Amino acid sequence: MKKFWTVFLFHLREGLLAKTTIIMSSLLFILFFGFFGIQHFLQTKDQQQKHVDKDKIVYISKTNLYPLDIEKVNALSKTFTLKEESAPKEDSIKKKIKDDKVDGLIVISDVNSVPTVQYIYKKFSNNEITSITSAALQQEYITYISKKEGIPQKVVAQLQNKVAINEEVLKNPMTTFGISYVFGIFLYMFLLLYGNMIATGVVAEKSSRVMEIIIPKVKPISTLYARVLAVFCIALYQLCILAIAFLLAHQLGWIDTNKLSVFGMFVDLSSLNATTIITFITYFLLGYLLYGMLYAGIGSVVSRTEDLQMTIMPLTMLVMAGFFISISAMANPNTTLVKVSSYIPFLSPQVTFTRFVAGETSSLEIGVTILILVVSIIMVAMLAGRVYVNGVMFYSEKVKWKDVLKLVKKH
Amino acid sequence: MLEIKELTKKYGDFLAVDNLSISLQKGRVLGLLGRNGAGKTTTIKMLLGLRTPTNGSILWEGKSIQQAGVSLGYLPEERGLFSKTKVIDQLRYFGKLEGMTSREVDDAIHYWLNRLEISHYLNKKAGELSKGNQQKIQIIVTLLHNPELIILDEPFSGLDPVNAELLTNILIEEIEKGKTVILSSHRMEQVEAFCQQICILKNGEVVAAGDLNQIKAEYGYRHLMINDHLEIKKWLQNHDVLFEQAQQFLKVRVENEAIAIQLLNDLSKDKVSIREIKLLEPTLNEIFIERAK
Repeated sequence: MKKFWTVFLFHLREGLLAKTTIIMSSLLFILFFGFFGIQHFLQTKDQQQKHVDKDKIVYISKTNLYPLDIEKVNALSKTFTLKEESAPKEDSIKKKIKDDKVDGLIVISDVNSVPTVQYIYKKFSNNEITSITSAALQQEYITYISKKEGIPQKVVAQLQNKVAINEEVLKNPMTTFGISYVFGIFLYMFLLLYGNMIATGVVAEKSSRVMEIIIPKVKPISTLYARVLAVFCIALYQLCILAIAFLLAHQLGWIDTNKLSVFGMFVDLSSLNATTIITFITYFLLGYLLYGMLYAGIGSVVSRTEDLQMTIMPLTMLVMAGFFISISAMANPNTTLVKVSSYIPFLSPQVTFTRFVAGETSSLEIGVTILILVVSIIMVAMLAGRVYVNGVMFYSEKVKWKDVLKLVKKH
Repeated sequence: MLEIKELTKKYGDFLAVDNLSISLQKGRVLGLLGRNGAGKTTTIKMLLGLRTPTNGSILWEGKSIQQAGVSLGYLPEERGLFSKTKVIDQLRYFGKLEGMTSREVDDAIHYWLNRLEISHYLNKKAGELSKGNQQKIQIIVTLLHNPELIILDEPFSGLDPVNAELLTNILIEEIEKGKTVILSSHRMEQVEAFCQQICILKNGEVVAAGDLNQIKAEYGYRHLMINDHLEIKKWLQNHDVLFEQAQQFLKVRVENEAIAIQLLNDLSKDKVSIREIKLLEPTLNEIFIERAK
């Protein structure tokens, strides 16, 4: 056991002090912290810009029946300012629109006492202009007709009462999309990244013949578990860096928890409770252990670093499959593919977690998938251990899967 | 005592080591010899537990070498170091894997770095060092924990003559301390200088094994050395006897002692005066070439 901790501490220290880890940790922090910073900066700038750069809209009235209350309209508007001009200037204003000196022209007139609006713009319309102008004119028209027809104002007010619709969503997948997506990406990246790190470390030790010095001193199985645990601690360390970057950005007020979005996808932090975090950590831990053992086992049969990527390709495909199925599970968490995948140990860490966040898994299902994962990890640890013990001293130009099977059977 | 009994290793149909049996008393040095692919490395890997024998056993003090808990130092032919790790860190790691305390490791590291005159490389990464200095670090890894059994595979590889001399002295010290050593090398003069016992392998089979002096004695005298003189030279040339100049002597290859005596009698009959003669045993190199070819 003492030797296990010696190997673990060595790999942990080497891993934490490795240039790649330092650079990656710094990059992760900068990217994550910078992401929120840039998002905050752009939002603030956007708001300021919108305040300063409101569209300049000219208003010409050709009717006496429906005068627009410019002050009221400007007070309601967030994106434009209205300025009144006289009718003879219409042509010169149109020219100014063409020359980008004015953003639009609203001409209000009436045909047989019915108000009409002409909105002239160069390329893109401003929806707020049409909605505010239309609502204001509608009100003027109702007032005009009610006066003309002698309808009391009280009746008019009652007629204008809107029928309110109270919506209640029992299960809105949109609210869980963001959380599933963010955690799905984390799982995907971490499984691939740290799985590769384990396999690369094993191959490097093997190709440099260090393994021949170590194996007589310590049991291969101890080195396997110590390495997997050390890389897991490095993964946790980098997760902590991400958490610190998030908390720091939050403390600086860069994160509006009500508007948090990743790649345009709303992240509802209210659905992120202790149970979700514990479930994520559980699936992360189990998924990592499962793949960590596999990556170490497969890595041990490779003799040259350049052959590694081809050999671990099936594992990479499995992680990718889990990610894509979990993406499809966000919108449709109850399809047969998703349901079946959530019980397949190589896919369940990603898929079951997504179904859990979507509220589509019972406690029993969670328990069963965790049990399947634990049993699978024990079996994979035994198999990977066998491959590792026999594989670290197996030198071959090209790795064939039948050789790997031989190593499993070998005593 | 190290006992290798009927050790056999097969890779599929290929017989890498065939029925190898050797006994090596504690404190003795064995030269494990053979051409490339003869089975030396496979034998060493079985000794280290890196390969499982197909048949046979390796015992240390009567117990299986893996269970005997023998302290073992191994110097591989190829460098086995972490290239991106500082010298001090990897030496500490290897020392601790041998059960040494931090204090013991640090004391041993400083002793060996000074002994091998590379203490200034303490904080350098192994990959930044020259091949010779990496070999020195590898030697420290081998000897750091004061092992009882030392296995050296081409220990002089990559060392310049000065460093080869330094390593020679270190090996002599270790042998004098009573360490049991297995030395695999293609440099026969080194094997001859250090080893009391040899084992020559050919295609996995033992072709010569035992006490080096005894093996040489069994071969008998192989060279007759006669003092260099014009009259003797002429006689040898006239009688078609092949010879070569060896400093002050004329070296004549003979098949055995009787042929040497016959030659001397013939010279005497022809009244060729001889001032000095020597009969020499074969060198290990000659024995090796004859047996391993």
